Parts: sequence; structure tokens; C-alpha cells
Amino acid sequence: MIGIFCVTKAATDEEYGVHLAKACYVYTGMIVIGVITAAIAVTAEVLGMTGISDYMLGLYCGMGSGITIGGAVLIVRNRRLMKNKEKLHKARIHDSDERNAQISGMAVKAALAVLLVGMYLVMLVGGLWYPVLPKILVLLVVLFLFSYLVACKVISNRI
Amino acid sequence: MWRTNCPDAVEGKTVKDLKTKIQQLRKERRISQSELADALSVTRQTIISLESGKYKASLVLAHKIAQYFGSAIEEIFIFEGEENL
Repeated sequence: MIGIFCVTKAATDEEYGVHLAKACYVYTGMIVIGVITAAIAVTAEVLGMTGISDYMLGLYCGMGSGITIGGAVLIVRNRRLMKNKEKLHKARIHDSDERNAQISGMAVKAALAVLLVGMYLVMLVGGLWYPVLPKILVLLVVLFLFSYLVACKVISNRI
Repeated sequence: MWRTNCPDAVEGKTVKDLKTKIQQLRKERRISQSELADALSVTRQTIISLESGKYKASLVLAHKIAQYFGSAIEEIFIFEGEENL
């Protein structure tokens, strides 16, 4: 799978296996976050916290379940890859291929541009009814720009 | 000087197809694209893009290709026009 989380520089199948094993820890973290998110909704429901809307409870529950299931599926996928040498080799080639890495990088840039334009439109239109939206979205854009500058600085010192 | 494989480095110009002799050398040796891809640890699609000139290999990959065919990089990748000093 070409993706921002799937590009690796592993030169051998063994290295890639180690990379997949480490990724499983990240996916375990995803499961924990998903369970906590869903637990918030269930706990609020059980405790009768009427201040939280049913929509948000449903959203927390759905998101939590989705993240949990996603993490579990990725762990199963990685474990199956680690057991099958041929599939592991094919997956390593696919994930370490420089052309795929370039495609992924270019796709992230394009998606980011679309996201920023979308956020601007939401701020423009949504702000008419929900004044808090422009504040939140501007904060997110500032966070993105700050993170980008910091990342540029860190990476330029490294390479 | 080798140019990094980054469309941004072309400064707004479209990436021109790069001529290579990869397909010619591969066919001379009767090697399939899959075999070449396996030998270079890249995908078959990368080999296809390299042969058509749509994708410019990195220095490391170009070096591997040159080593595989026992040739110099300049003999396999043909640079024309503005890519030369």
C-alpha cells in the first residue's frame, strides 16, 4: 500500500520484518486510543451525562470503533506478511521503491493543498453560522505552518 | 553534476522524458522487466517508467542499473539540451 506510513528504507527482508514489528506497536497504540475514545462515549452514556449530545456520543463511538478495528486489521496484516517470505519480499520492494516514495510525497502535497483550500472554504462559509470555526481552523493552519518550518529546520540540519 | 530526481528542481518546467538505453540493453541480454526489477529491488512499474523516460532514477538507482549492465551511467542515461552545462 502506497501511503505516508508505508514507505521504508529497509534494504533487506529482515530489516523490513523489524520495521513491520515496530509498526505493530504503533497499531497497538491505535487500538488503545480507539478503545479509550469509544469508552468515553459508553461511559458518558452509562453515567447519564446529558450535557453531551447524542451525535457526539455516536461520533466518539464510531471513531473509536473504527480506529480500533483499523489497528487490529493492520496488526493482522503485518503478522501475516512476516510469516510469508515471498509476500514479505514483495511488500518490501513495493514499500521501498523510490518511485512509489516519490508518488506518495507528491500525493501528500496535493492532498495538503486540497485540505487547506477546503479548510478555508469551511472557515468562510461555516464561520457565518459558527464563529468558533474560523478560530479553530486558523489555529490549525498556524500549527501546520509552524510544524512545517520546524521540520524544515530539523531536516536541513540532518541532510 | 547529477540532478536530484525532484520535479520541483526543474523550477516550474514540465519534466521532459529522459532517454535511456535500459530497454535496449535489457532486450540484448534477454531479460524480462520483472527479472530486472527483482535484481534492482524495485517494482516492475518503475522499470516501465524508467524505460519510457517518464521517471528519472535517483543517483543510487542509476548506479545500480549501470553496475548491472556493466556500463557507465552516461552510456545508459542520455542527457540532452538544458540538462547539460
